[in-house]
Amino acid sequence: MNPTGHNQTFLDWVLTYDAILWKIARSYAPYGEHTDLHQDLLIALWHAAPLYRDHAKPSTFIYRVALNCALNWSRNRARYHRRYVELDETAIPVVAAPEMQEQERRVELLYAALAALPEADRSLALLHLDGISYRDIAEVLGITENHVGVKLNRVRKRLAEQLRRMEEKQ
Amino acid sequence: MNIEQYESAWRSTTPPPMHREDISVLMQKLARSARGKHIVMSICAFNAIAAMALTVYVLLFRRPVDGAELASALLLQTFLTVAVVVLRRRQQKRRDALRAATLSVRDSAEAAFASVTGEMRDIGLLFWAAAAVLPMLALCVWQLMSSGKMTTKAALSFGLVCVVIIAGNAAIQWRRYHHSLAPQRERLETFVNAMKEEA
Repeated sequence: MNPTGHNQTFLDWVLTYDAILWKIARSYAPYGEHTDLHQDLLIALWHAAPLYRDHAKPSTFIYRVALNCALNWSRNRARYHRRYVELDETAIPVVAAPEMQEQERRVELLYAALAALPEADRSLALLHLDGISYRDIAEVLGITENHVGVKLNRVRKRLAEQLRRMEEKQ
Repeated sequence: MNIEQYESAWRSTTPPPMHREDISVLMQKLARSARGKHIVMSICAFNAIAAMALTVYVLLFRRPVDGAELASALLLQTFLTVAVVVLRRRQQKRRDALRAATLSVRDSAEAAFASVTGEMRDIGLLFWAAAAVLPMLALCVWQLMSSGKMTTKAALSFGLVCVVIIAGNAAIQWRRYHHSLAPQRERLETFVNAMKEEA
């Protein structure tokens, strides 16, 4: 891919799929660090763009790059900020304020519930929430479609339980 | 409230896209930074190779090595070779990391696990390398002292500096191994196992 093609591909992707990057950043970075992770996701995507081959869907490629980057970010963050994790994690399950619009409130609660899931389950839940097919989820995560179905069932139950507890607290 | 209502709220909410101008600024910055890194790496590699070539040329053709300088010449060549190898490995690691970022999440985690395991093994090798360099350093100092090119006081100061550098480096690597790499490896192992866990 030449530099012009590289820049054009990146520009098209960001204009079309930036919402994916924001949602991943919000799901993996604790409160106050979403913008940092979003920036890192953009950088990772820019570096990875020349490795894109047409046989894959752009969205699948972007999910792969962004989830891998977010997971690395999260691991490195734990490596360097382990002493502050407890403090930050108290900030993650901040429950949505009652004056928020209902839709917004639900999404905020969902982000808080996602943050409570283990990293592997969070990726799966995130892809499902974005309406990605089992086949594409399997391709992004590197597991079988059958495994996606069974795991997703379990993850959705955990998510529902977490949301119910949060609702009760409010 | 059931989970479907949350899922539908999620799908109906889309964060606002970035402005075209902001993306262009970011691309320019990234391109500049990539060019800068490439230039710095090229300069480092060129300097190390040129210094190696120059040393070999001077020692072989301009001023043949006498017994008193053999250990010093060997030591210099060793350090320069290590510098070139480290630069090459760093470049390779960057390329591997880039490729791993485009793999599936499971494959990428497995690659990261292998990379961290490799880093831990390298630290072990580093300790052996330091142990191998110490007798060479001692021989180097002894040769310089016996040929009258180094006083006892200078040799003692040099020895002290070497001990401080080696001990400091060992402490840094020990800390990195136990407090950074080992927990990271454990986390990656848990993640990979969670991905492998068959239904």
